[in-house]
This record gives sequence, structure tokens and C-alpha cells, in this order.
Amino acid sequence: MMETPEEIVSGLTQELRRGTIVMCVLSQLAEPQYGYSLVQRLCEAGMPTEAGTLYPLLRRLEKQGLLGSEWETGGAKPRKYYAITPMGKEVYKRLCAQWQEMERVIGHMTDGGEEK
Amino acid sequence: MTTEEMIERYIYDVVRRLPADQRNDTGLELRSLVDDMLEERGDNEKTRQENAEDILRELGAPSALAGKYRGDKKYLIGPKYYEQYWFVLKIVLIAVTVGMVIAAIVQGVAWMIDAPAAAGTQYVGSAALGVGEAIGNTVLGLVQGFAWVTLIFALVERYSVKLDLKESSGSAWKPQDLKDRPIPSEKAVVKKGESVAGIVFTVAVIILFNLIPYLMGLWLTDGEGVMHSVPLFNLEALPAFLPVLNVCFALGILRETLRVAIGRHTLWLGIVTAVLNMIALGLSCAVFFDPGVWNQNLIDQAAAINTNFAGAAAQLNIFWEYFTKFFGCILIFAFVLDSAESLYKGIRYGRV
Repeated sequence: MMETPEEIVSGLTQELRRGTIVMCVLSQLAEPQYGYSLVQRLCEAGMPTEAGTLYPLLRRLEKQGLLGSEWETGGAKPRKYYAITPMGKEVYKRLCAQWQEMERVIGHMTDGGEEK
Repeated sequence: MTTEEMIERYIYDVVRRLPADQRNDTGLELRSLVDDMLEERGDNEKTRQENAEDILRELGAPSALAGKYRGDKKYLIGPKYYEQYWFVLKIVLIAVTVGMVIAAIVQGVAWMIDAPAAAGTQYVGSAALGVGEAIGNTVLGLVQGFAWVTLIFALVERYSVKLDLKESSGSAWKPQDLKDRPIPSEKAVVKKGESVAGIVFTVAVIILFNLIPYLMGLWLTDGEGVMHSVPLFNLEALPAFLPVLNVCFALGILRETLRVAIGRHTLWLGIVTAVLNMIALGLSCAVFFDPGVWNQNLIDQAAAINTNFAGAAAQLNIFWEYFTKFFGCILIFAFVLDSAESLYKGIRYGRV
């Protein structure tokens, strides 16, 4: 069964998003956020991400040391807040630089269809 | 199934697939996530139950969500069973080591009693040979224990991965599936202690039958106060029965290992236990109902050593004859009881 162009584009877009989601998450966590508030923020910013994807990702980033977490039990519901660590900031900074470099290169390549 | 129950069951079904140290924390976090999502949808036209179902469907099949948490790598023995694996492995290896050392000491003592006071060099040579053999046996036992435990857990892992794949493929999963998956109560949890005792006991019996069967006997003092042992089994015939007996023992260890690995009573576990028990029962009946395995001359030999026995020899002979004939019945009773209990608990506590 052949995929339609729509399906192919949607699959490739998903892969692009998957590659950038870590950067988006790190960018939003200068101030502590709990998981669902982050889901909403990403959605408002135009980067909708399912909770089923984001929650495991937060765990993984925490395990890697890019995020720190703390349970906030003062409110009506206990919530786990995540915030970026110094190491996370360092990684984020370098990721951003990589991103800009990629943007420049790809901009060149796609602008006019060939690299000058 | 109420909405609350459905959510609790969903979260349980996710976290039970995660490493134990993450379960509590992840469970709490998912709980607050579902509550937040429910709250956000509180003012649409749908009922709370419908909203909850939508949310769970969005989060996806429990096995799929757990897979995202685990980063789904391929494992021989994954995080879900890793702790139980370590637990059983440690017990088996410790039991084998301790058992082998005890067996070696017994063999050494027996040899020293039997050995004629031979010349120095020959004596040392034989002793060294004995120690070497004991070390070899221990290593062999450890390797076997390791291999079998690993194999059992790898198969359990494979089986559970297959189940997960079936569940999470396509859109097959729906929140209503949780109806059949209640969170197990305290009673449904398998008592680890019993299984540990079972494994240790079985390892001891394996070593007893294979290496030092003469210890299983009547211990008597003769007229001069010297200890003698009259073996219960026919030591010449016993080696021929050993392969069948060892299969029985291995099945017993397999059963207890599965109990620890699964950790709770399920219908599947009950059925597997019953099947393993019936095979082991058939094999052990073939051995213990065979008069040839028993020492038919037990009482006569005992009477020759201890005069107290000689007087009651006739009655004791009858008793011994009955005992050897009906020993198998004790086994039948024990195996049937264990199978019935496992099946009952499986039906009672879990249909998974």
C-alpha cells in the first residue's frame, strides 16, 4: 500500500518536531512548571504536544540531569514541578547555537534550490 | 467500574510495567495529570466518565505509555522483571553454594572415616582430588542455576512483551478494557517467603539425592555406641532414577521462580502451576511407587546393627512396607493441594 503525499509529509513533520521538542521544553522551564501547565504553554506557543509524550520526556530529561524536579504539596493537588538545571542551561545554549547553524545552512540550501 | 476505579486501574496498569523505584512517583504524577485534564474539560457537555475515557484514550494503551517511559529498549530481562530476577538468582546461587559446601564436608568426613589409614602421600593426593572435585561440582551447580533462572525469566519477559504488543497495536486498546483488570488486593500478592523456602528446600534435596544419598537413612548406634546409617533408598538402584527425579525438582524450582516473577496470583499462573505440578506428580509417582527405589532390607539391616530393632523386626517390617507403598500418596496429596490452591487464588484474584 502506497502512502499518500499527505501521509508522507505528516510523518516527516512529526520527525522534525520530535527532534526539536527537547529544545522547546528546555526553553520554557527557566521558571518551574508542572507537566500539564507545560502542555498548555507548548500548545499556546504553537507547538502542541501530547501529555503522553511530554510526561515521559520530562522524566528522561530529569534522569539525564537537564531538569530538576520538586513536589509541591501545598496546594489542593500535589504537583511535580520541573525546572532547568545549570547543566540543562548549558545544553540548551549549545542546542540553540546548533539550531541557528542548521537554520542558516538549510535556509541557504532551500533558497533557490542549491547551495551557493 | 466507576470513573475513579477506571483511572486508578489505568495508572496501576502503566506503573506496574515500570521499574519499582519509579512506580510511586510516576503514579502520583499521572494522577495529577488526569485530574488537571478532567478539570479543564469540566464544563463541556460530556459526562465525567466520557471525559475520563477520552483522556485515557489520548494517553494511549497502558503498555504503550509505559513503553515511552522506559524508552523501550530490547531486553533479555527488562526493568519490569529485573528485581525479581536478581532476587531469585541470589537465592538460587546462595542455596547452591551453601548446599554444595555442606555436601563436600559430609563427603569429606565420610571418606575420612572409611579411608584406611593410608600412607601420607597417597592420603594427601586423594584429599586434594576430593577438594578439586567439590570445587568443580560447585562451579557446575552455580553455572546451571544461573542458566536456568535466566532462561525462565527471559521466557517470562518474552511472553509479557508479546502481550503488550498485542494490546498496543493500532487502536485496539480502549478504556473499557480496564473492567477486567482490577488492581490486585494485598491478598493476591504471592508470598515471596514461601517461594524462597521452596527453592532453598528443593536445592537442598537435589544435592541430597545426587551427592550424598546415604545421609537419608536410619541413624543407629550399635552395641559399642558407634553410629551407623542404614539408607532408606536402594543406593545401587537410585542412580537410574536420578534423571527423572531431577526433572521433578527442576519443575519445582521453575514453579516457584514463576511465582516470584509474576508476583501475584493470576489465572495464567494458576493453570501453569497446576500443569507443572501434574507433570512432576506423574514423574515422582513413577519413582516412589516403584519398590525398587526403596531399601527393602532396611529393617533387617537395622536389626543387625541394633538389637532393639531385632525384637520388633516383624512389626517394623510391615510398617516399612506400608510406608514405601503409600509414600507416593502423600506426594499426590501435596501436589493436588498446591495446584488447587493456586488455581483457586488465580480464579479468585486475577483474570489477566
